[in-house]
Amino acid sequence: MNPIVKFLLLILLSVGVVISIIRPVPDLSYNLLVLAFAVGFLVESGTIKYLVKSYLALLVVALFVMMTWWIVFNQIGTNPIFSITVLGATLRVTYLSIYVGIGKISGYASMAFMTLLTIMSTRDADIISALKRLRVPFKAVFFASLIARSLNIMSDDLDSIRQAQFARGAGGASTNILKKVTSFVMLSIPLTTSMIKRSVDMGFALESRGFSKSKGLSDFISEKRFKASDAIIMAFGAFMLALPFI
Amino acid sequence: MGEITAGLNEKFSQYTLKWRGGKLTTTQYALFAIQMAVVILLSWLGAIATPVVGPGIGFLYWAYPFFVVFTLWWGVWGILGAWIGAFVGSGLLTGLPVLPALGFSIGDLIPALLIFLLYRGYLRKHGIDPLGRDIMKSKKSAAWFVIWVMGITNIIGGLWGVWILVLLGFVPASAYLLGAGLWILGDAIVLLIAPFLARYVTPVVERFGLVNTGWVS
Repeated sequence: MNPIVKFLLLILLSVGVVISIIRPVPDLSYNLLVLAFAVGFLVESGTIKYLVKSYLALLVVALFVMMTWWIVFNQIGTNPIFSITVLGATLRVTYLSIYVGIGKISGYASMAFMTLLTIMSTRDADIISALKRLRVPFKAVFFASLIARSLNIMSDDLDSIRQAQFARGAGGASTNILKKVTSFVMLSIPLTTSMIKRSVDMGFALESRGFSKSKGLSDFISEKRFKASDAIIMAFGAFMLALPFI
Repeated sequence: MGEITAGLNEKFSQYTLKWRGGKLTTTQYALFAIQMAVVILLSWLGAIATPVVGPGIGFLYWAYPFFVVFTLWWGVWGILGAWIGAFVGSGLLTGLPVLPALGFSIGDLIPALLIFLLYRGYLRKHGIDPLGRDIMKSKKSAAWFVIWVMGITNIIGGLWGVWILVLLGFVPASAYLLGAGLWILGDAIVLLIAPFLARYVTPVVERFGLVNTGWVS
């Protein structure tokens, strides 16, 4: 799929879900429909296994936290399933508050899956190619590609520093917030200095290849052009955006 | 006293609020891209590791002290880093869609901008190091850091960010103040890292000639 179409589809579906969840009682069926499409796309693109491996546990925690906040701070409904009084304040859990909570987290989950699907199934080269097609200036395109490519490098650097510190007995999995901050101070200084060293090395490497005199990027071997299937996907996105209004 | 103030002003006189949109060196170009990648990475780690309230909000938002110091060093690039870091790292990469992530990330852009304006504008003229190296040495500088960086700008950012999430239906309206309070408290805690970074790493950045004297270069 063309990367520009992918991002447009993501925006259209996100706007649809936001329209659904800003209502006092979210449209659960709409959210579940978008969620089903997101999961379908994830399965079809083969990215589901990466999502399960790297994100699912984190997403489950985020969804649980969100659900808890909606149940605790959204005291609506008349028929309590459960009620408890703590320090004079009464917490009531009703069918409606659970329904609203599920509506909110299903909306968030569908958007999260769609966003992660877009990010996981789009290569750096596709983004660069799309920006080039949109006639973004060369230096800005290259800047964006440097950011995308540096993410993995800096993630590896951060991991190496952490492992080196663990090997010397520093850090650990403390739950004490101040200890966490102290251990992060020890991590932050080597991380910043390694970032500066990498930049200086990269600057020299770029300049030795004549970067400041270059006028544009070399062409890609394969570029994802706009096809009929992209038009169908866009029409689908527009339909899904219109659905909450029907 | 007047002489002392004049001397301090002269000491920091090269760090100003002038635009200085001259040509960037290739090293600066690479550096500004890599610092944005670091802020994205730390924003993502902060939002994912300690989620509170709603999507994109982490209690210990590790990127905050970094983008504060990067802003003091690199002006507009640090401010952009704060915004892009929040937009991509704690926004898109945590599953927040494009439009909410755009609105929400302004909660990091505004504090960075205000911090730069105060340090390079008013505070520089009043003898406080615009790069924050004296926060751990001078009471006056420490007080400004606590009031402006940990306090006012942090509060503005927290109130804005959580308000956007309430507006878009991610956070219940009755949890607004508690949510913003947790954001502000968590950021204030991690901001304790900033004085260390400013004190110990600024000399390295200066030695490489990589500190911006104006907004852009």
